[in-house]
Amino acid sequence: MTWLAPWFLAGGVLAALAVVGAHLLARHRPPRATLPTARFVPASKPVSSTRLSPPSDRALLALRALACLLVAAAFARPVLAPRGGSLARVVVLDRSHAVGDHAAAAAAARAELRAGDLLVLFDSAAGAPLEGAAAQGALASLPSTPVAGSLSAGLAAAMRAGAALRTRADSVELVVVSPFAAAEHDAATMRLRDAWPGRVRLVDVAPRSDSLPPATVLLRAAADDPLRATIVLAGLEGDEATANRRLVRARASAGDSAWVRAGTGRVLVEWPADSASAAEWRRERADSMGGVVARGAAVVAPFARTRRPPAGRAVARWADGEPMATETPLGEGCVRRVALDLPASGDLVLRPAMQRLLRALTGPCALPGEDAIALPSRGNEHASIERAGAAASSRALARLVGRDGGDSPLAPWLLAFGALLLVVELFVRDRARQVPA
Amino acid sequence: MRGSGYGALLDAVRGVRWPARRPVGSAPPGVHHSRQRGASSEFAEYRLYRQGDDPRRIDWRLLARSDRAYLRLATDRALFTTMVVVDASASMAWPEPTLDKWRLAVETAIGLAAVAHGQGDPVGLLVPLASAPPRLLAPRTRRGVIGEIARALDEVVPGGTPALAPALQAITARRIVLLTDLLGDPPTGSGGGEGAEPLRDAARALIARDAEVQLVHIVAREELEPPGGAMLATDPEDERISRPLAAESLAAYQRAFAAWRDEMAHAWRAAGAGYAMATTGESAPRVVRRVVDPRASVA
Repeated sequence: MTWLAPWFLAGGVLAALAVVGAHLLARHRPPRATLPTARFVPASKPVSSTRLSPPSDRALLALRALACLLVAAAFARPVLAPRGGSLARVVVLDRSHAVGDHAAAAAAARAELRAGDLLVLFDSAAGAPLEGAAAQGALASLPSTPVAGSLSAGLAAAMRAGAALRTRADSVELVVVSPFAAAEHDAATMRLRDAWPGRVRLVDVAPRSDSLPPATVLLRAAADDPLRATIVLAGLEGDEATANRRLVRARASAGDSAWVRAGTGRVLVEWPADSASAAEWRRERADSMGGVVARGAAVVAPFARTRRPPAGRAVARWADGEPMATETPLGEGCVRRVALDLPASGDLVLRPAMQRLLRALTGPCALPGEDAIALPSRGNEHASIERAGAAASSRALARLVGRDGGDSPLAPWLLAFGALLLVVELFVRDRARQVPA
Repeated sequence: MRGSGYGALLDAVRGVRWPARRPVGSAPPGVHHSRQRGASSEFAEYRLYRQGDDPRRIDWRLLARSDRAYLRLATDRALFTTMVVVDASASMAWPEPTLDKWRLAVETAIGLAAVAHGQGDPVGLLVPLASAPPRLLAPRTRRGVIGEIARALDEVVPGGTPALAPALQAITARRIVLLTDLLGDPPTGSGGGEGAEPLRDAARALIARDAEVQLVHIVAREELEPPGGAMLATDPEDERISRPLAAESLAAYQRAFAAWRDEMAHAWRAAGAGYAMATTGESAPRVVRRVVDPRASVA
């Protein structure tokens, strides 16, 4: 026999001990008896504390203690024959582009996986849960996908798998094997984590090394170009030999394209300084916009919107959702075109928000499935998941009771028998109180 | 009469005399000393003849010797109407289930009635009831009145809190015997004795009308010595009075109860009434003899 909520059993034992203690140290009313001359008895409080030794009303004491134990046992939800192991796991394995060593990740997942556990593979989407030989086979030949991962997709699939395991095990543990890269985190991640009622264990694996390249930018612009100060303030300044980003404040040349093709992960940012140098980008009707956002970096300021970037993958957008910057792959790198007119006056380019925007616009090329709008920093994201785990565990009990109330077939019988004993206790107590006058 | 329950009692009190404590005033001829001077054989005194006296009562021999006309006076004898009043309150129906207090009151009432009836006095019964008109038998001297009294008492079920004092005010008998535990009226004072004031006032009014009041205070032995063990003592006539009686409070209870009994005895005797305490466990004939003894019941 196992108990689905054994802490109730401990509570019941404590309650029974409390009943016995209260019985031994009883504050009891003496038996009622008529006495015509009662008016001559000195007035005092009709309750007295006495230690009953040996205890009286043993049947009453036994009934009360037994009722406490039975009710506690009912709430502890005994299961005579467990349908599965006491603990099952849903192992969620990240196979996205963010994982540095897929073999190591597969080994970590294999170490967690046991018979009866389920394996969920995810990148930008999650696959069907795998079990047994299928799971081991998938781990043996874990395919790496060149797409960004989504922790939300993995957690959603894990919840479905957990619901299937719930009928086979007493409790289900979620094990997430991932580098927990910033690109894999979105607004739904923490909500999905909160929805998981049980324990979550995070197995951190090494991220892909090139996923966090130290960006250095070579700026080809006029000497008084305002972005020059921004690059310096953002610490992105590089030289011809070491820069892996190139920011051109005019139209890109053939040499720039060749430079992108010559390396891996190189990014060419084509950001014309004025409309005249990119006449074909001109908008039919110029207007103004209050802000731009790119990869979580937002700048709120009045911008004149006179241009529209060429077609491509949007990596930055205006406040109304229209693309402000687009990206097209080129070789093993990419070309990014930015249609943002910097104000001629003011200190906007010196503000930290502008520095963050510049880092986002000169960041690594976007991966398939990557959301370029909101990307929190990687360091904070890991901690926030664990904090959410602590918060969720405090709510787990209430959720567990609500979801699994009917799991123990013995519980209602025990509860009914406990209630019956309480009714019998009433009769026994009334009979014990009847004292002949 | 209920079976043979009272036969032994009546045998035991046969021949007992219950004289009036004071000479009786104007009343039909009977066995009690009267304040009237009559013509009986028991000489009392001589008195000078006055105009209007019956010449047949002149002592002619004394007239011959002294040449003066004297009347020979003798002590007259009178009847003494007796009314037995029995308290049928809930406190008298105790202890359950034997109802010893009530049984002792009933037997004492029958015994006293039999004694009074035996010496030719009219005897009656009054039992105030809580939820019914009082059970009243007017004083009679005829044969069988004791049986009627016994049957009437046997039919009474004591309970509730009947008021004795108003019932006393309507009594015209010359002797009133009260059988009560003095606990019928709820107490108004801390000592418990204040509750008996209305009854005592009514008795005082009767005494002022030249009546003789005899109180038989019925006390249960269990009231003097409550059974051992702690209990929540509850007044059967007032459940608001509910107090724990344990070993540590027993002595205080007994002291308070004894002081109250002494106070009652003193107060009733001071009011001019006879007082006798009867404890359950005593035989009714013994109580009867103690009540009728004028030296024992009057201070």
